[in-house]
Amino acid sequence: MAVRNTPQRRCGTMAVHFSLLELYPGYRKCLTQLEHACVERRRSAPFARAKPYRINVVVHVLYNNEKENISDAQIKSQIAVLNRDFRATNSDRSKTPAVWRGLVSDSQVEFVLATKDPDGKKSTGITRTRSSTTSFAIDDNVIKKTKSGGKDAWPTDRYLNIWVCALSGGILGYAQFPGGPSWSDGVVILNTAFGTSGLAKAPFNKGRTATHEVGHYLNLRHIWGDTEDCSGTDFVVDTPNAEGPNYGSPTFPKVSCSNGPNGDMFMNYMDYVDDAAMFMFTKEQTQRMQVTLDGPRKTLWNATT
Amino acid sequence: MERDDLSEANEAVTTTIDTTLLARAWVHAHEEDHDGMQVFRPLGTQLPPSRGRRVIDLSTPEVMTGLAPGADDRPESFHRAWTIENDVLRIRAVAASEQRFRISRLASDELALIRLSS
Ligand SMILES: [Zn+2]
Repeated sequence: MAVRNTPQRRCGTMAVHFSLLELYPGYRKCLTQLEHACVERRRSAPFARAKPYRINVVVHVLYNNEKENISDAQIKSQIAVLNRDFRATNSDRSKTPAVWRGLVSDSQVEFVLATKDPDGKKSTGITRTRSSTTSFAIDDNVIKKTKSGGKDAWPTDRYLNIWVCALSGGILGYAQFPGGPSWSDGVVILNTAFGTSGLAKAPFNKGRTATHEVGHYLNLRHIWGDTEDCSGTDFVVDTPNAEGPNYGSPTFPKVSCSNGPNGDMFMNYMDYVDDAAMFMFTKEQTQRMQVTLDGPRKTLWNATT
Repeated sequence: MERDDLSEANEAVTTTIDTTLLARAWVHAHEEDHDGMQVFRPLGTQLPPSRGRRVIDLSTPEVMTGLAPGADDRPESFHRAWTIENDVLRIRAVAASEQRFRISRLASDELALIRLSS
């Protein structure tokens, strides 16, 4: 097992592009089917759900020293943020510029720490694993393998798996889109960008990294469409076209890609701004997540766990 | 667009760029951006954690390799062509290789091509 303890970028290694789409044929097929389903849903009349989607969560804490063995309180603070953000009960949503206030959307997704483990035994929904790895690489999924010093996922069709650890590569987390390999499904979050207390460190101490990553997990794309010009798309109509990621805490309006006068919707959870500067999903993003939850992630909230 | 206009408006005093200094990998220290300027530091500089950072490697003449945040937030590599003219760094999509064909026959039900040497 490779132990990587330098937190800075390693050019050669990082350039190895891990392309799931090429390695795993079912992935592309699933994503294509989802695109079709989204188009269908857009055509049909909007309907209000009778009750929210409720997702069982397991948090896998990986630690190399006691300090990294984050507290239950830090974990619970993260679950609370997810519930506020995905139900649009976060108080900072009021900062949304007036022009977009009507788009702020309740995704109807709720998160609860699992009360039973995969064998049906009583559980806190938290696993804790000491590892000799001081900092997990972001390109090898070692963190998701018990054999390699990480922690195997709980059945990913029934639980949202969240791994929390020290990460190399300087990023705050990463996700897996729907339809990928089941053993690695879930999101990985840096322990200092998780929740609102304990190790959480400004400007990423409002739990929004997990909100962003779970957005990907439910098939949301970055609002700039993942190209560095204006050609990319997030497959969502009610987020303006944007050139690239926004950072820090921008001032409204910030114009790119001829999207004036209102400019980029940088306060969307799917941009790259600081935690305190993001506070909304749109209606179409909600629709996209719900299509995913009614499709490939259906077993997640139908589970009896 | 706006950025180009801005840099042209800020016409620099005749600057000669030291290309040996330029020829290295740079990482976007976006925390330091100001007044329409994007600030890069040598790759390897200790920077705080970030949702993602852009890296541009200018160590090979004309061919730029870079890293940009991918769809799942992990970095993905990209390639561009680059040139330097005075103090203007031009970055373009890598030119596609050209193939030339003579249209030998064209009808509603047939297109016949003869490959020409380039
Ligand atoms: Zn992302």
